[in-house]
Amino acid sequence: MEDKTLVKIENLTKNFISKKSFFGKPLSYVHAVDNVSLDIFKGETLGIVGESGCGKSTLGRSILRLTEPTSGKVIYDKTDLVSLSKEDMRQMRKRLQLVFQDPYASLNPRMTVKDLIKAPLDVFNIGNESERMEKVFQIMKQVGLTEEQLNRYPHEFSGGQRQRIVIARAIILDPEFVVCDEPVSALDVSVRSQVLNLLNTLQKEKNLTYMFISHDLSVVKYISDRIAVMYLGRVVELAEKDELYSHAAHPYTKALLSAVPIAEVGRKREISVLEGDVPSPINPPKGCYFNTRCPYADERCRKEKPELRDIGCGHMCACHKV
Amino acid sequence: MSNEILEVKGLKTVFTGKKGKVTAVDKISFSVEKGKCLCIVGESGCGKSITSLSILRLIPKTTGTIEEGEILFDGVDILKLDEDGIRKIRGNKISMIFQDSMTGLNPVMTIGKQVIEAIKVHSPNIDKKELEKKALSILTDVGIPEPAKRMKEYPHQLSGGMRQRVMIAMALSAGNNELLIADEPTTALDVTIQAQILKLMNNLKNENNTSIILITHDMGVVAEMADYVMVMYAGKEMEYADAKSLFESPLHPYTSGLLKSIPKLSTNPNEELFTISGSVPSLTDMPKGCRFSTRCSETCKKCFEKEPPLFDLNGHKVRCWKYEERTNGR
Repeated sequence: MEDKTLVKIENLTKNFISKKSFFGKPLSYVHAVDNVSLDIFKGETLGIVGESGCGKSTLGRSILRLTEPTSGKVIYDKTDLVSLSKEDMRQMRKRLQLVFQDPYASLNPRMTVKDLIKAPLDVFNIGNESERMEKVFQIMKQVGLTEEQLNRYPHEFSGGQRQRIVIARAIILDPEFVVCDEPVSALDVSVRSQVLNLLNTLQKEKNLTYMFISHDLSVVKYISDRIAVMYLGRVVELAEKDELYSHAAHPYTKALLSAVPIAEVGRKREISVLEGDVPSPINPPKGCYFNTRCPYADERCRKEKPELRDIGCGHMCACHKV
Repeated sequence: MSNEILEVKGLKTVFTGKKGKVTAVDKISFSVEKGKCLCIVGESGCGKSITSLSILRLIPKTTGTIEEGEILFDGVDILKLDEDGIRKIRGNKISMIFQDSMTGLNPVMTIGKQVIEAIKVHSPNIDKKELEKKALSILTDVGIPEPAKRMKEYPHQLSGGMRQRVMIAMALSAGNNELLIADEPTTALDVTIQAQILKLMNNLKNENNTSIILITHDMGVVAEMADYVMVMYAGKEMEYADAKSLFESPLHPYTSGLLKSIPKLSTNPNEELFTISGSVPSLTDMPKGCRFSTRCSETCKKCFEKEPPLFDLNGHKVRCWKYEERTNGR
């Protein structure tokens, strides 16, 4: 298994300072990502699901060091990304890319499509001008943009097309690993499926590895091979997709899955509506973070923190009750 | 038909901008029965929110006008009422829940004050003690834990789900609601919280016999809530049917395309997802015939020449030339 691993995340933690004393001494922290360990295999899509504020985006950004992690390791190709120097990390970024959620905010409105897609090649000084342009043409064709659109500005495009530009820009350097942070959440249903199909085709053509962050469970199921469920900064369950959807073990995963509305009429679902809200990540509850909302919680859950352990065939779950 | 609480006939809402007139809602007709839920579905820009704002006459006067149509609420045409008349209905008999609960609430007023204010507007003669009692009971009804404590708090101290509950509480505050219009009430919320809010709205419908117009783009939510569904596309209603027949046998190519393009939990991941090619045409640049003709895979010559009327197939209405013969045959 070891040689299949592309990215190995070990005890990654990110705390944000939420309050400082008068002299700048931190008083309280937001525990955004709390001791997360994950392996991402070559060529797979690892889905990360969870509700807002559970730390899934911060996890993605910490892996790429777009926010500096507080502690932990991210081992990629035998090197620890967290300890790399700034310049070494910069070189490494050729192989690690990110697709952002909002295609309206992530494109510079003053740059033409050509410049936007070419920018990574310029930054890393790859090839001469004509080679670069050739590469741009090739990528644009791959993501379904036409040559006439070359000199247009982002505002002339619809959301779906903008997301195609964002994807083109992310894959032009032929990266190995792409973090997709809610790439289709801002798109309309009829356009969403176009972008999902594109991501799937590109993965096959270029043998990409995706980390796909989303709150939409049906999208994640469609695109992922394995799925990690996060709650309050911790991974509570990790399994092969089919295993997760058919035999969810953690009570939170079960509740999450049952809460997804299904676009079929007359199918009576067993809804286990969760009580209450997600606790604050500044002051997480003791023991299992889910114990305040869990219907099965007992004394042990309130005291002891459950570790993520294997419950068979790579299905990992962090719950005392399983 | 006295069973209908709201009947909209040929509503046309027009906005005037720099580039001229834009018809956001183009002569649509529909009705809502008592104690039933109508879901309006469509993509962004299809006019679903404008339809709901038109019903409450909340279209900004400086740019938009309702050019044509009738909106009959309990037999009275809302569009003909004067400002006083509409105020008696707005928030009292018809209430509205907006999408974004943070902008819907006043950030510098406590929750309690806002709810009390909403009650006071509609029943000005109640004394202060009574008001507080009533606010407390409404907040308890919508499932807010520790309502007495929450009443003293400000909107930013509450979570998204909690704020949406407060919005619903304010919408219900008049007490004699007959119609509730909810514009994407759960879009900004997480799925577990969404399930809570939908459950709450379902209770309202069943217990108080309130009619609901629910505006959403999520087909899953529609399946959960709707008795009737109206599918809108570029300002027109494309299909109108009861929820069961819409999901089981969608007639319009747009509806069936929408349903097919959603990845379901049961979709086989090796299959490519169905896509509707292209994107929604701009309202200033509508195709000549059917509005969907530029993206439709089942077009014929007629589709590009003339806009189809709404064909009625036993109550299942659809705006597509494909069904012309089936209605004529009957």
